[in-house]
Amino acid sequence: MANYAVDLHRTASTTLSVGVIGADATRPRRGEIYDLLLGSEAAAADNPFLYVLQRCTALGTSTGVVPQPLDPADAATEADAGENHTVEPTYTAAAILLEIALNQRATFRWIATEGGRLIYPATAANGIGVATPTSSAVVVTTQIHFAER
Amino acid sequence: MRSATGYAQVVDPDRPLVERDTIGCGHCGRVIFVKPDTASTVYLVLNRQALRWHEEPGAFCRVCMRPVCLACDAHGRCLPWERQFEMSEARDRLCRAVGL
Repeated sequence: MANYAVDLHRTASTTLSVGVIGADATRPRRGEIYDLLLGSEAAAADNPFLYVLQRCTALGTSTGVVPQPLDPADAATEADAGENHTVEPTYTAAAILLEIALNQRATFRWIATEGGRLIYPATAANGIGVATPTSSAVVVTTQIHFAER
Repeated sequence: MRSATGYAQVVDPDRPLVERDTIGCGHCGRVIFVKPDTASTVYLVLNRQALRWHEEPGAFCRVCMRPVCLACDAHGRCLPWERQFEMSEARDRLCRAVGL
């Protein structure tokens, strides 16, 4: 099982996703998110943010981001990641995996061991998206570390 | 009861460090924030309107013997995430095998 990291950026929007990660459409493999960082690199200001991670059954249309293997000897991942969506992912209603309210100045980090990770299935184009239903129009970043089975 | 399988941290320059233990829902995989020193029997639930936390009694499935989130507990049936994934992946393999 190899480990990968990917950074997803976007000017936060209440209607547009920050980014998405999920299984490839033709060679799907399971993925496990075990380390997640959420924050904003914009100039410090007091704005409320609600970050939501939600399951999706289609990854939408986005600018592709290539996850980097943490061990350079590992092969490239089969997982697909994207940011700056022009077509939003198809989110599964109520399938919210994590939600956290933050001030813009704050940074959130979550790590998990086996049994507590966020897992997406080896089903074509299924994955997990990051959205900001409460936000201000400043740049936010999500860094995701995941393992691929 | 179950020990935490995750840990969350909020670093805010204007406030004290916030640390939370988390567990995963045995049915949907959701990250559940738990109150410290309660053996995961008290959940911390975010109120989306007020953007504040409040405490709720935890939930435990006695079929799969795992803690579950309050939404899955309200649903009232046991379908562990492993089984859901197996069904989803089997359906996907069948669709690709027949060229859909």
